[in-house]
Amino acid sequence: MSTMQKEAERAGIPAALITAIPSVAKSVGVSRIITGGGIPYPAGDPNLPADREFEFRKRLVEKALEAITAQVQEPTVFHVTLA
Amino acid sequence: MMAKPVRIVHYINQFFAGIGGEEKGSSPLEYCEGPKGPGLGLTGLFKGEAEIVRTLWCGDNLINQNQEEVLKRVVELVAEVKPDLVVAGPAFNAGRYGLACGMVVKACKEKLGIPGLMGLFPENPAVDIYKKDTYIVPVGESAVKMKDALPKLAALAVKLGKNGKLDNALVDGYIQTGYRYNEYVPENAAHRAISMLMKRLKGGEPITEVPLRGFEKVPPAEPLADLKKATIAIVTGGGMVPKGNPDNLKQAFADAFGTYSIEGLTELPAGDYKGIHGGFDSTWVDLDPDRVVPVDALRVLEKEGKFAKLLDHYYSLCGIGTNVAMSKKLGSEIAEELKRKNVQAAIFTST
Repeated sequence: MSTMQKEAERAGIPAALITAIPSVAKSVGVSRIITGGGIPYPAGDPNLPADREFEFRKRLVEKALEAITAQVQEPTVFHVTLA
Repeated sequence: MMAKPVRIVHYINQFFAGIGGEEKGSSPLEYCEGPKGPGLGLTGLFKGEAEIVRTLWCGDNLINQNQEEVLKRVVELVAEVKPDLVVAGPAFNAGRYGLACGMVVKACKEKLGIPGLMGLFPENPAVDIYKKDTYIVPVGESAVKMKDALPKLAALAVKLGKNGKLDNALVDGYIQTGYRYNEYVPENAAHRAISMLMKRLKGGEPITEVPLRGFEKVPPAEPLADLKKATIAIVTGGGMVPKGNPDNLKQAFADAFGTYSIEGLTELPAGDYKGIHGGFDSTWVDLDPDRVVPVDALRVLEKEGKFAKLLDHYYSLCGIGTNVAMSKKLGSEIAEELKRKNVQAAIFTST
């Protein structure tokens, strides 16, 4: 997905990648990276109670929206604090 | 007694054979016994361990435009003198000359079973085409670097001619062919890893057994100026598809992506969607597909007016084992669709 994210950016579409392995995304050169909840659930965390998990996901996508409006020069990892 | 010298046929182009430059690009395939042009330099470096028994040359345009016919004759001329090895170039960064070297070496290997070696600048377009088929010695960009190129070429020619193969690319310095071979080493992986670590701790630079691939740098897109007016799309590599996988997307080694409607949905309902990704346990995303396609949270933000609109469908595939070339192709196809649908930004999720 990292390579695909770069194709979106190349086409002029800013894109944020939510992934639990930001180091991989960074080494491939993804410009806007959000550290997700876990490998099998990037936009969630089943260990949290449902309402807190939803809040966590909302923060993740809010952070993603923040990332696509941010000026970045190189691979940048954005973090979210748990709800 | 000294072993018999390695017998080499050397291929060069019209320029290095002294026929002429670009204007002689259509000159015919010719040959002589013994070395010619750069082959004279190689011969001195062989120190009697190898000899060029025949030199072939051809205009770069002629061989590229009449491949089949010229290569047939090349193979005949090589077979006549029964060499141990075919050496071509060095062709530096010359495009057509590089391709000519590659096709000559490849044809001799395929038709006659004779190993080959050529010298190319690493960015010569022939490198990507022929690196799987032949050993390529990295050389400088132009003939100015001839003096540096010939010793490398000569040393590997002798080694290859004597043994019929080379050691791995890290040892012998040729361009990696992309093949991996098993080999026996005295120490197991744990020991080797500890040795590398110790070397690094002492300030040394251990040689890795698995070099990292270089990835292309893509400059980031300009940030979105006005989020409030933007349409946002979701793209996932997590393999979330409608139940039954209507497009028969592959569970790994993706060669296509699916496009699925989320019009009117406030979330991706469990049961209606299923994770088919072959590389992770989809239990948790099956229980709540929003964990990989975050429709529910984005709908709330859409309603709050954070952005104008969530695109009516999302894109999905299984991002596992998909090679870089295919990923680029699918990625640029998705990007084109996003542009066509007037999407300003995207959120990708990756498992």
